Amino acid sequence: MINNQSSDKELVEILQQSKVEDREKAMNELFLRYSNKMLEYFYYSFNKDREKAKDFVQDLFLKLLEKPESFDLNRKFKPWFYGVASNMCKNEYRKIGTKNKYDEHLKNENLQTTNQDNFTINDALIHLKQEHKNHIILRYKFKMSIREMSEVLECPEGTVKSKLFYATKELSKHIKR
Amino acid sequence: MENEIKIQELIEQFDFSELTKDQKEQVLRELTEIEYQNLRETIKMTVDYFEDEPNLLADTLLKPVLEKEGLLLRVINYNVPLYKIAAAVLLVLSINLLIPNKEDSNSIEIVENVNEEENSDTLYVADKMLKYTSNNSIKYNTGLARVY
Repeated sequence: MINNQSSDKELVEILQQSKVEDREKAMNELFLRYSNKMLEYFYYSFNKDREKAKDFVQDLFLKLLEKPESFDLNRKFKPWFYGVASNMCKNEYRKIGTKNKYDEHLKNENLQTTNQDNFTINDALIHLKQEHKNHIILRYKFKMSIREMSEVLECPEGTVKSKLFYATKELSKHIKR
Repeated sequence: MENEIKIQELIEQFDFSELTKDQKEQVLRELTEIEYQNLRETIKMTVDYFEDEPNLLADTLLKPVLEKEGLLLRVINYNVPLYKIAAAVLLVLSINLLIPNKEDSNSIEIVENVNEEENSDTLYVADKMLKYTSNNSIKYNTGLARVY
């Protein structure tokens, strides 16, 4: 029986094994639970590009639907799902990396000329590296614990804290007080 | 790295004034007091920024739809594993080798002898000219008229 009391794991298990009707119900429930969060995650990761964020949400759920068996039932679903989303962002940044080098150059030029202005958090976030931005979003937008972050990013808790420290430092640099 | 880990924990929890003497020493090895306060302020600003932003709602259209396949489609889309295909091909080949080849030396070969007929599209009939000689005259018979 699928309802809002079912755990994430139970729902993915249904996606992995059951009939089409049950799978559809399980997918509906997972979409209800995670779609808004994932939209926000991609939205901030891609510098508030809403259309791109929507495309990525769709791709993410499609991945889940097509290959639910890629989720190991011994793991927690939430960090795994955020991890998949995080990897999608990483791949996208890598893909557009070459193109961005030129944009980055222009951005830095603009940064030098507008250095006198106050930078909002939004502007400062745009200037962060993808990895740093990811840490800031997971920690301060989604309020994840360090342990959860280490599960999402698949690295030790110490590394998460250290990277978070540098990300905050970088963010602080771009905010003119 | 140890120091950064500890400082990150402290920044998130305490103002510089709230730190113990040991903690302050640890922080000052890495940052100035102003830098510490700036980092703390940055975190507060970031949390406030995200809280003030409107919540986004995902459109249900983004949800992928499961296609209910008919029996025919299921049969068509049925994936046969590669090893099964290889095994089937091997079986057919081995059966082929086991069955004796009936095309041996005793067989009679019939070769059809095809006579090629002369084909000619046009018929040319030589106009026969008959020639008669008598004394000094030459007589031609063209078949149509006689000339003497």
